[in-house]
Formats: sequence, structure tokens, C-alpha cells
Amino acid sequence: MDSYQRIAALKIQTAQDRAHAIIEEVTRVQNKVYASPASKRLLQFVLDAASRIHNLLEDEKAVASADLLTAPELETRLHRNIKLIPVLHLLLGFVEGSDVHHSPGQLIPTLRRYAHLILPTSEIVVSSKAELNYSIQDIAGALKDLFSGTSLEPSCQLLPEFLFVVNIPAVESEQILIHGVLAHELGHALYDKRKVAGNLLPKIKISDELVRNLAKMMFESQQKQQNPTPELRLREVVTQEVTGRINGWVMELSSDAIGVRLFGPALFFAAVHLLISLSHMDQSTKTHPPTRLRVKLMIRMLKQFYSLDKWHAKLQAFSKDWDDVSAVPVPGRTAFDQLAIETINDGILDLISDASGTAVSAAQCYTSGRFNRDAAELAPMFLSHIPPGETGPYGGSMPVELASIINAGWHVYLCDFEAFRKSLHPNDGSTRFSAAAKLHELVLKALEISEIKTSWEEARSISKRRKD
Amino acid sequence: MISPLLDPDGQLSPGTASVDVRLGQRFHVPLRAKLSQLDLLSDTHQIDLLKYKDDTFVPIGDYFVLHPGQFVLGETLEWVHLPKNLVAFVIGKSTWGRDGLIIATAIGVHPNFSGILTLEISNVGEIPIYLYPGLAVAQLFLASVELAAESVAPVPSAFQTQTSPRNRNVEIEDSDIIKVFREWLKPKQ
Repeated sequence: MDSYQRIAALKIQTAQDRAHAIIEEVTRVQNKVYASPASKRLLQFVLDAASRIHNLLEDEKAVASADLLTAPELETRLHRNIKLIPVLHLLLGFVEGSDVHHSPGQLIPTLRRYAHLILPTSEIVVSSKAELNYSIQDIAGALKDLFSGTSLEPSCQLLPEFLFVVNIPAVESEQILIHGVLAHELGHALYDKRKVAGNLLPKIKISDELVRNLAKMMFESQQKQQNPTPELRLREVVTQEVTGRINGWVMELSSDAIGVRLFGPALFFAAVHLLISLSHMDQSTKTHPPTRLRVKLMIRMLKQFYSLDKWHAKLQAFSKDWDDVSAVPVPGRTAFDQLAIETINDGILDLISDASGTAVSAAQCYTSGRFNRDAAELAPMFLSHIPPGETGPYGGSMPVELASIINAGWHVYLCDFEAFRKSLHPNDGSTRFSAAAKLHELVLKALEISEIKTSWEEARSISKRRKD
Repeated sequence: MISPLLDPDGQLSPGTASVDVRLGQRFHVPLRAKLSQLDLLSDTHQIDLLKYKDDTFVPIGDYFVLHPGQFVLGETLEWVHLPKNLVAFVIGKSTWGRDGLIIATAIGVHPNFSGILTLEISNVGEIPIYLYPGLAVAQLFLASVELAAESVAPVPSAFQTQTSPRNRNVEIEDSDIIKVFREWLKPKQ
């Protein structure tokens, strides 16, 4: 046995130990209580994949000890499976913090039901982590791509079509109103599923003149260099860079637009409260547009779809402030950003808004009438310390929908917060933060009541059918 | 107002003077290994209580095993909002009581109260009992109050708007006076 064969044997052994450790960990954590069945589904996937890796590596022992492959060939062959182990660790990290001790158990069933309504083949895992990071990603597609063509492809059958992993900062996990941003993430899924890009992107043209001017400027600035890039090649670079930004930015903006249609003003309120403390107003990345542009689109949509003049005076003033701020031109961080910003003008924002309508059915849209009704009927219930989880006459009440509860909560937060705070016991209303925490608790309780009401009816009808 | 009332006919059955309330999904569980004693007059008792109890969430469909001699705080599934002219009393249901389950000790609920009701649950029987959230474990007797204080603005109680069965940061009444008595008992230097 030569040196590499011994190292290959060691490589297999350590990788098998790693896979074994993952199997042990899954066995340990799968007894925890998870609010979403998707956590256990993901654990099942990890267990299946780790077991497969372990067994495949066992088979590789014979290959490694035989002299059939050269060292580089064997290295490549082994690495094909071993490289997937860190992915399983990552997935375990998603599940960690999603048990009911760490994530708000009242929120997840309601969110899951809502996600099913929008995308029936979706599942969610909500995980609280110590880091300050709000993120949501659909990992099912990425995992299927990653495992496609590998020996772990069969494990992917355990995954749903969409598997949203929602990360929320543990210390803020119960700040439920901010979680209204989830509508933006559902927007991402609908953007893909309803193929909005195919309809929208061909309508967005980058000005040839602006591309030429920028390429010329770059060419001229390179003149002192020994081997300047040809101007034609620079035009190609500019087009590629700007197109990449526009594709990414339009996806983000469309997700905002879809989110506004799903959650109405609550998405806007949650987004600005989240973005204002976490991101610079004018900074952008290759994938994300500047916050100011996002606000501009959302404000345009609110003005178009909601009767702002009928809103509470404080809400009108709040939106007016954001309207003023979003009207300020966005300075591009780079020349490419600037060109992308100039391309996505008001006309394109309206196109994005219109296209978002093709992704959401009329029944799923949160309408202006609903917002006004929720503000008039549900928000006062919070002020009376009644979580509005169900409404209607005695014996015939109906559960209140997620978007309505969140919008009513925001209404109290933005319009009647001081009155709410004063109504609380001095211990609860002693600070602005403690009063806000109390409001969040009431919103969570309303969601819990709504979900219990809905699921109880479902269970009752199943039970009745069985008896009959 | 009681919300959600999942089975109005069952929970408010004719011929009875009470409304059945169900066990909620959250429990506040003592961690005996974390605290040697509980002294409500100690200056650190609020911090001690944080060490002493742990929150747990048991979704409907799952269960919580209450062992003999064990004590936990539970909650009602229902949110209760009383007007100023009603008072309520929480009483355990005899079906559970006969199995050794004590549901509530601090049973009075004052007018204007709004929140979930905390249940002080104890197993005084000899075998473990499975507690299933969603089952009716207690009943709420309501009575009208004759002297509704029209002119007095309602003062929210310390347990107002509670959404989970936690201990509250409430000063023990007359604890300062008892402390003075304790000082008197100490031998003089």
C-alpha cells in the first residue's frame, strides 16, 4: 500500500466518523418538540443523507485499497461524497433553534398554514439564532441542484418542493410585527413559481447610449495603462454588470411588490422598520437594490392600491415622510449601480407593480377595504386587551387571518401606541420597549387563537367523519 | 368574553352554572436542581424565581407528564376578558380531581381582568398523569358584582394581559414589615 492509499484510507475513516457523528446528533435532537413538522422532515433528510454517505464510503474502502485508480482519480472520487458532509452540518444548524424552546411556538403553525395557502407544496422551518440576522431562503431547490447527479440524489425525495428556512435573531424572536417581512420572502417563491421574470425582464431595456458613455469613460481612464481593454469589450463588461444587477434588483423589488399585495401596508411597515436599523439608505449590492428604491416602489403601490387619505392621520404623516425620503434621487455607489438605478425608473417600478399582480390571485390580495376594516374593528380590540384571533357572533365566530392580525397590530403600534402603553399595568408599560413587548405578545396570542380555532374545526370534522 | 370558545354547546352545557376552560400549550416548570430554597422575602427572590422555573411549549396533540408530587404552572387555552360587573372563580373539574389533579389554588379573577388564567397544577395522586393541551380541565364560575365602581377608573392588576404562565415581578405585600420583625428577632450586639 503506497502513501496515498494510506491517506485515502484515513480520509475515508475520518469522513465516516463525521457522518456517524451527524447520525448520532440527529438521533439526539429528533426527540425535541418542533412547532413545524418540516424540522423533522429536514432531520430525516440529513439522517438519510449521512447514512448514505457512510455506506458509500464503506464501499470506497475496496476501491481505495485496490490499485485501479491513480491518486488524483481516487481523490476526486472520494471528494464527490465527502464534500457533501459540511452541507449536512449546515442543515443541522437550520434545525437547531427551531424547537419550541427557542422559536415562538404560537407563530409557526399560523405561518405554515399561510405559506400552504399561497404555495401548497411548501414547508417552513423557523429557527432562532444568536446572530442578528433576519433571512429567509428556500433551500429545497438549492439542495436538489447540489445533490443532483450525486449518489445522494434519492435523499432529495424527502424534501418538499419549497422548504423555507426562516432565521430570526433569538433575542428578537417574539417581535412578531417585524416578521411581516416574511411576505417579501414568500414573494421570492411566487416570483419563481409564477415565472414573473420571464414576463418582466424582456421589457426592461438598458439605454445603449448610457452603456456606450460609461464604456467610453472607462476606456479613456485606462489610456495611460500599457494594455487598455478595448472599448467594445468594455461595453460588454458594462452590459453584463448592469444586467446582473437589474436581474437581481428586479427580483428583490418584485418580491417586495408581491409582499405588498399579500400583506398590504404591514409589509411596508415591517420592511422599513427592519431596513432602517440594518441597512444604509443608499447602499446597494449586486443582488440587492438600495433601500431608498425599495421604499419608493412600496410607497407607489400603497398610493395606488390603498386610500391613504382615509388612513389615520399618524399613518398618513408616516407614509408622507417615507414618500419624501424616497423621492430623493439615489446616488449610485459605483458607475454600474448608477446605470442600473437610471434604468429602473418610475415607469419600470410601475411595470414591476403590475407584474406582481400576475403572481397573486385576487383572493390572496390584502385589499384597501380589509385594511380599513381591520384598523376600525381589530385594532381597538388590542387597546381593550383582547387579542383579535376570532371575530363574529357567539357560536358563529370565525378565525381572523394572519395578514389582518399583523396589520391591526401595526396600526396600534404606529397610531395608538401611547394609549396602549397607558392602559397597561405600570410594570408592563414602564418603558417603551416593555409596552411594545406586550403588544407583540397580544399579537402572538391572537395568531395562536386564530390557528387553534381553525385547526380545531378541521380536527372536529375529521373526527366526525370517522364516527359517521 | 372568552376566546376561543371551541365548543360553545359543550363548554356551556345547559343546567350547569359554569364555563369549561381548556388546558393551554405553555407550562412553567420548576427546576428543582437549580435552587436550594425559595424565600419570597429574600432580596434576590425575583432572580431566584428566574432560575427556578423554565418555560416549555407543548403543542396540542402532544402531552406533558406530571409526576406525583410535581407542581407546574399551566394556562388556560382561552383568553378571558371580564367586564367591570363580573367576577370569576376557577375550579378544577371533578373528573380530573378524582385522579389526583389539583388545577387551581388562587381561584379568584377580578372584574376588568383580561388575560389567560394561570393554573397552579399539582399531582397529589400516586401515579403520573398525562396532561393534554386542549382538554377541558377546569371550569369558570361567573358571578355578578353589585357594587360596580362606576366612578373609579379600573386599575389593571399585576396579572393583567398575561399571555403565558410566568411568575410576575410583584412585590410581596407587607414584606418590608415582616423584615423589620426579623431584625427584631436577631440577637442585639
